[in-house]
Amino acid sequence: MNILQTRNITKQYGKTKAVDNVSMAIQKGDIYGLIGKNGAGKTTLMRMITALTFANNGELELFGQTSESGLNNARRRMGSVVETPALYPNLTAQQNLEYYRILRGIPDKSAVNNALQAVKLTDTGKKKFKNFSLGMKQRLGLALALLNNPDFIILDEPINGLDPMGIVEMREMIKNLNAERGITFMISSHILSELSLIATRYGIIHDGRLIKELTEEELREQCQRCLSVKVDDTAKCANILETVLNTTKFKVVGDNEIRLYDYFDNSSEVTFQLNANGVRVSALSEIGDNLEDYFVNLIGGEHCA
Amino acid sequence: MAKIIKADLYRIFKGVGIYITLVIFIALVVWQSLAYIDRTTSVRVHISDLPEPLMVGEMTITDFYGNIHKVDFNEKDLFFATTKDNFHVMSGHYNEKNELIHEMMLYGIIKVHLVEVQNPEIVRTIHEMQLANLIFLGEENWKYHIENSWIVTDKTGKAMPFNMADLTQLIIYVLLSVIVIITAADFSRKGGTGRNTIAGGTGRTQYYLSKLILTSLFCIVLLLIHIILPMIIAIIVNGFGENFRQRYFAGLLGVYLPQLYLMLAYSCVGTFLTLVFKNKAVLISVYLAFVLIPLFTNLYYSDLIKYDLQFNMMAYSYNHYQIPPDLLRTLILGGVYIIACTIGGILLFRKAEVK
Repeated sequence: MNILQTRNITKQYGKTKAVDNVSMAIQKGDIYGLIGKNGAGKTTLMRMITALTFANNGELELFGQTSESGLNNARRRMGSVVETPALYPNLTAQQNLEYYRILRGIPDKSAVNNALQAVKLTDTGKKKFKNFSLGMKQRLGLALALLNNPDFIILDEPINGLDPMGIVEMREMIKNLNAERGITFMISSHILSELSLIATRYGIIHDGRLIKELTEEELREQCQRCLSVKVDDTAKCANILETVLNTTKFKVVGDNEIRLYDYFDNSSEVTFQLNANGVRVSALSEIGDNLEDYFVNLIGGEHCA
Repeated sequence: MAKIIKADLYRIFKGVGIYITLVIFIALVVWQSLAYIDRTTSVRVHISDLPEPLMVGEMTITDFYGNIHKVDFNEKDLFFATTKDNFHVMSGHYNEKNELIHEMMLYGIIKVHLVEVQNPEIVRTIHEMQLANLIFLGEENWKYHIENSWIVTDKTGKAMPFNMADLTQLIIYVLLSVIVIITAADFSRKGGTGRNTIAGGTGRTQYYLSKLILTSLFCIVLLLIHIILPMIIAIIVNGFGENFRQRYFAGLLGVYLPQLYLMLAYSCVGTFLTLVFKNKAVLISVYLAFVLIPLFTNLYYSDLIKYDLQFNMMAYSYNHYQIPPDLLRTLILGGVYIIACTIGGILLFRKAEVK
């Protein structure tokens, strides 16, 4: 089931297309990582989903709703922190959440404490939001997003400015909420290594265009290091890998290429056994990217966000 | 909308801004009330035989005497003179009821006429409050014209709301602070909380109207404070007063309902500025310009003041006004601002970026 679907959604500021014909889908249970360098259009896309700005073209579907009133109703099932967490500076964490509890018509008064407990902010007492550390602000932003027990949460750079412990805590919170409550997430981040630890699907956005969507497995494959073995007979090669070299960690990717995810430290043994069993090896090389390299290569070698 | 209003009330009363605003407002109202009770009135004079009617203004006795070129008449509390600028001026200084009028008539140098005002209810109210609405015609081609001016003779609780009616401009300044607390607080430069509300599925029209309704409710509360508090103070000092009649309330409504209507127009202007520009500095500067510029342009383009909300408000106060009250004009003028700002504001806000 699609929680969110965009169809050719476009946002233009003057002559600049901040978001250009983006069609994407987020399914229930996903932790969707939106990757892109600064100014790529991540925040603009999130702002359109959260009604903070409107698309010039295209269609937005949220929980199956596309009309204006339907989208507003659907947004009540959603939580979001777009850009920095914005709360009333002179109110405490509890007061801020109480304000939104009343505003959203949540009858259960314990919702405030439950949300604060979920982000471990129950002990802030009378400390006002303006005196919170950045990490506390991010956590309170997440608590606000959790307040109405949402099915879908949008977080824009949620680990921005957090210290290492804060990053770990935020990551664990998101993973737990996804696993235990089944909340679907859309998260943008430019700290790709962190995003790769939690996301289950990825969308790569560049110059306003969604240039690639891939699953966690697909990304792992793309980024996994392997031996690219070019041979004259891939079937025979596969058989030798299984029977002689006792490995199944390989994939046939073409008429004459096999990718072997094993024997990194002993590639000469692979060459020797293939040759010994009558397979001609024309090339053997180690290939593969980490996430950052993959992203940089994909957007054309420009500076990573 | 009720949920937004309820939530905003919770937030507003958890902060200190509203308490500071209310304390300052109440202090000013108390100060004005005490000043009124203790007031020694001088008379505002319009000289209507000049090429353009010009209000000389309310002068202190010291200023008045300092500016005199030639004394034309001086007897006890009544003083007619020619200024260095060749204006004919008059000062009345009195402590007892209608003493000025009695003296003028006694000395026979002026004739007293009731102004034919358009609204007979107003005339009745003035008479009930023992106030005078007079034209003073001087001899030797002098024309002293006190336009609907009135003289405070009754300082009891009953009269106080009428006495204070010329000071309701204070509310339109305090209203700016209220608009900042209710609406502009959601759109601060560092990151507005308004986006949480919009992103949470609140319709923009609903949001806009909620803010407007809450601002209007505060406007009513401020006006009630402005009416009731001076009354209480005057009752404590001078008692309620005699000759209370049922028409009293009709008179009060006749003064304050048009004023409230025009104040609501200010609420609409302020809410429009906040939600269209979403910038506190722009709100404050444009709103103040909107309120203050007519006060200055009035000196050069006096015909335009009848299209200004504030001058129209003052028209119902009898004392400080420069244009006569006109209910139809008030309804049209206020209506234009209310409708244009609300409809225009909603249309623009529905399309606007929320930061």
